[in-house]
Amino acid sequence: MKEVNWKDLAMPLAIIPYVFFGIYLFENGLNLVAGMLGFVLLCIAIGVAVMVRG
Amino acid sequence: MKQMFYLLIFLISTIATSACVDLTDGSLITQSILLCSNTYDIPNGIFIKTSNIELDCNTAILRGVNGQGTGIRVEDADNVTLRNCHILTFDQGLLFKNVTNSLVEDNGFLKNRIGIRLLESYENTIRENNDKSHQLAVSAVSSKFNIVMLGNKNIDRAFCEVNACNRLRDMQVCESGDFYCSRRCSPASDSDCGTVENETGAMEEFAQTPIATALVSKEVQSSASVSQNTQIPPSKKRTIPLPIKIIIYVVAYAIGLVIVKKK
Repeated sequence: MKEVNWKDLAMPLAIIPYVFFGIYLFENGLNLVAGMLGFVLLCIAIGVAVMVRG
Repeated sequence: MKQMFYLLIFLISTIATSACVDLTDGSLITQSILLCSNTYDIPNGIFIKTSNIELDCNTAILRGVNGQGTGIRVEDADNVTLRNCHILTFDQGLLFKNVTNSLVEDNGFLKNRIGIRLLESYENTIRENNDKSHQLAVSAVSSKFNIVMLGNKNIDRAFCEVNACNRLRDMQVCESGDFYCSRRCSPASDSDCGTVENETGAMEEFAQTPIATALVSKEVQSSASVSQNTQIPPSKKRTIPLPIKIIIYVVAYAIGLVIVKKK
C-alpha cells in the first residue's frame, strides 16, 4: 500500500483563502475588507512565486 | 516581469476602488459614496439634496445627541438610495421631504423618536429595515404610493390606505385629481400630468404647484384592473447558499490536489 504523504493533502489547502476571497468579493463587492484581503493574498502569491522560481 | 506589471495594476485598482469616506457633522452629500464602517457622532445629521445618488453606510453608525435633530435629511430629490446605515438617538432617523422613486433598504433605526418620516414623498421603497423607535417606526404625511416594509414589525396606520404597508400591492399611480404626476403616467392616463395638447407647458406648471396636504386622506383603489404595476428595484446584495459554497471549496481543494499530485 502506498504511503500517504501528508504534504500532498495539506498543500491544496492553500487555495482555500483565495476561494474565500472570491466568494466574499462576489457577495459584497469591492470594499475596504476585500481590498485588504486581496492585498494580503496577492503578497503571499507573489512571495510564493518568487520562492518557487528561486 | 510582464506578469508582475499586471499584478501591480490589479493591486492598485483594487486598493483605489475600495476607498471609503469618513463623515463629518452637517455635511451635504452630493455624490454617491461608501462610508467607512465607523461610529459617527453627528448631532446635526447629514443632508442629501441631489438626485440619482447612493449612500452606502457600510454598516456605519450615525449617532445623534439626546434624541435631537434628524439623522439623514433627504430633500427635493429623486432616485436616492440609502443602505446599510445604523441611525441612533435622533428625533427623526430619516426624513424624506419631497422625495420620489428612492430606495431605503437594510438600515437599522434605533432609539429615535420617529424612525422614518415621509413628507410629500411619492413612490419610494422602504424595505428590510429594522426599527426600534420610541414613538413611531414610520410617519407619512401627504405621501402616497410608497412601499413600506419593515423587517422586524408590521405597520398598521392610517397612511397605509394610500401606501403599501407590509406587503406589495398594486397601486393606481396614475390617479387623476391628486396633484401628483408620476413619471410613469402620461396626460392621457392622469389629468394631473396636464393635457394632451400642451403636455410640456402643463408639466412645467405642475412642477410649481404645491402638493395638497389633504392627499393623505385619499384612498388608492387597489383593483385588479390597474394599468401600472409597482416595481421594486432589485436588491444589490448577492448571496451564495451554504451548500454551494461548500461544493466550491471542495472542488477547489480537489483541483489543488490534482495539481499537487501531477507535480
